[in-house]
Amino acid sequence: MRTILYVDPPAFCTSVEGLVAPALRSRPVAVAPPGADRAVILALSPEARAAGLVRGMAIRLARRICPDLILLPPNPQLYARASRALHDLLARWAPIIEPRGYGHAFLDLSGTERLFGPPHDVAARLRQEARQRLRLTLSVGLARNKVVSEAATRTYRQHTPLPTDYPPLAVQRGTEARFLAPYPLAVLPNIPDLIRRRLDDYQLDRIGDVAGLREADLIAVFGLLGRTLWARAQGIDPRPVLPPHIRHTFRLSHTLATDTNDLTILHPLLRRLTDQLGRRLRQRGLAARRITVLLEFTDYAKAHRSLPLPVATLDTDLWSTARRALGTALTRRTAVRVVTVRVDHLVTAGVQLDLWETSPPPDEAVSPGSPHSLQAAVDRITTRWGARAAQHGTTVPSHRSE
Amino acid sequence: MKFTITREKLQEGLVAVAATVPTKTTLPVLSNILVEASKDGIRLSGTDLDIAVSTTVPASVDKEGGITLPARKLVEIVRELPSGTIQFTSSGEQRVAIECGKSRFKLLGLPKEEFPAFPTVKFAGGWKVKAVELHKLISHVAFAASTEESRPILNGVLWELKPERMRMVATNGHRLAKMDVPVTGGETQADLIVPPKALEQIRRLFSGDEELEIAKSDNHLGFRTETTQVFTRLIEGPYPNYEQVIPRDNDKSATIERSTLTAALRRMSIVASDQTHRIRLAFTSASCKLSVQTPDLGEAQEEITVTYDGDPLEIGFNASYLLEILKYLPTDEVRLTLKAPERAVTCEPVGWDDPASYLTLVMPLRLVD
Repeated sequence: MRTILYVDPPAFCTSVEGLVAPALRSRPVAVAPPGADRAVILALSPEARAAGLVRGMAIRLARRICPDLILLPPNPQLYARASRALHDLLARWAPIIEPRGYGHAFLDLSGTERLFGPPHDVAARLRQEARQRLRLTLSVGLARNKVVSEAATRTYRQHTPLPTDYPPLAVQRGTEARFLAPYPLAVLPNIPDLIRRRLDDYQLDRIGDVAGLREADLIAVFGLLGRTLWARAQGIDPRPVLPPHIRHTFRLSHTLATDTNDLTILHPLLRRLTDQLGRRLRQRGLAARRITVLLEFTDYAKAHRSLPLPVATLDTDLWSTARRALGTALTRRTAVRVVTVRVDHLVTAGVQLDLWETSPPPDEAVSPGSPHSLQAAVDRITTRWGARAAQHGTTVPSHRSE
Repeated sequence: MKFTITREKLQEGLVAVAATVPTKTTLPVLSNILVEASKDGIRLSGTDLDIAVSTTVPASVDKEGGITLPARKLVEIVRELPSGTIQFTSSGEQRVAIECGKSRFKLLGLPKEEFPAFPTVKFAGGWKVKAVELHKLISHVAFAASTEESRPILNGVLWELKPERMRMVATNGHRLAKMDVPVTGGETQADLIVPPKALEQIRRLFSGDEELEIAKSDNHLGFRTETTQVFTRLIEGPYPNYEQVIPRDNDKSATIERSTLTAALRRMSIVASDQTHRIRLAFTSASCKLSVQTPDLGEAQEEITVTYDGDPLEIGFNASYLLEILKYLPTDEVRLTLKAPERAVTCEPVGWDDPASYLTLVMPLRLVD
């Protein structure tokens, strides 16, 4: 019997900022890129949310609505450090943990009852530890699968005003569909915007409305996604909790400080993202067979393009394919606000040897002059001295002397 | 246009052409077959813009003309009609009445002018090849071509024409197949990269001792017999230097019964990883031990008898690559030559009494554990 716990630290970024600067606590705080013309809010505190602000709102508008708003620049290093500390704490309670972005994680508690006690108690103790050791509040959902446990934590967002405490919410076995039915579709995670809009057009507002349809009808409208949607609405989700080293996909996003479609800005950004993804893949001994570049434009319209990769482990392979994908995805003259790069179809790197040595064996990889030896040298430098110690010329901002 | 044709002859022509008609297309006329009646008979043509096929079948033509008709519907109608003669009568540019016995159909088509023109290839100055030789080359080599978009040149089959031999080579970067067929009286020299889909059409349409006329234009290749013509777009670009990856110094060899190895590989691959199909082969003096270990699934072992010459060697393979190669090897016994766990392995037929020479090679999988 599976027991999955989903951990969602509400307003994680602003909570962490509040730990560093206690004066920020109980104040409306938002994280947004500094100095941008039309920057939007990336994260916000419960107080800011209570004042009527939402993620993605323009700063100018946010300031008009909430004059007391405190704006902070994003501090990814700080959030990553806090997230690691939280994940370390969570990892002590579960044999398998699947981190999901800053602070969020799925824990597979199946079979741990004799060791740690009932899952509900584990959830309570885990929250207590996070509060005492890290001073972080956690919202946790307990269910027999991923979709219901995540949905359970999202139900808190439906409360007005937002609660200050988030007691663990456990969904009993066999009651998943009944539990989800009264909630709006926003509670159901991972529904693509396009489908959400179509469901809205059909006036299907509640999860129960979708669950009440026939699976065949949803398949007729949404194709194979219809099958997944029907299963999720019923509270059915067979996906396992996967530790990070057997993830099926890696993705990185960057929200631009100022929206642009200038390739002299987008290309270096894309290169940085592909370099970071390349490093993650190599650290785990993986190679990607497909890369996808996803763009979100100023008007929130989206475009994406996927291209196959020749079992890529080198940054140059990822970069050259991502650049081609960007070229074909960038079909509009509208400025871009978010660039996301995703790699998937992962395989163990260098296992299938190539006739023309695309992925040479390790002894050849270090032979001087090969692209693999250069990549290995750069990786050694960046592992020891940080990502900025060795960068491509194109990703370093130019300083023109007057 | 008005003509009468036997159902069998029409079906024969439609089968030859219909395979090139694309199932999905943005150009509606490509879903149609061009039917042209002339004093020579009925010419049926279909194309997906990469490959074009046309064939002529005998018919009694009362009035010449042409029209394009929806391929799928036409094939279905002809298939369901009873054996006998079928009469086609066009009325206007876009409508045809089909009559056979007591069955009557009226089918809407598109004007023949909308059908794309076939590539211009001048057959004068071309060369001739026996269909049986080409058939042999295609059926042993084309399977090894890549189907991935990442290296488009490998999506083609290299066809080398030399005065004394024809050679075909195909690879996906991990495995390679090469076959040479001797020719006499050949004069042409050319290196062509042909899409496997076109070669499959050639293999399907031409067989036996038929002699094919072949000619090349700037970026197209044409094949023709008296009744049938096939044109294909050529893939442009330099083909990788395959000679450099064919191992010349493999010092170990294993001779194995093909059916035994195939059966053992099939059994082992049930437990192999779905992603890598990794299987381990351990060669010793008189045996080969096959084993699989898949962490989340289980393990399996089997030992088969081989004639092995060389030091003991353990090597990993993608079982599906080996199985595919074994499927195309034409003899009961096969010889593997090996050097080291991370070097290319050749696989050849043993005792093949054919003037052709056939070689396949496959790169191993790295054994990380």
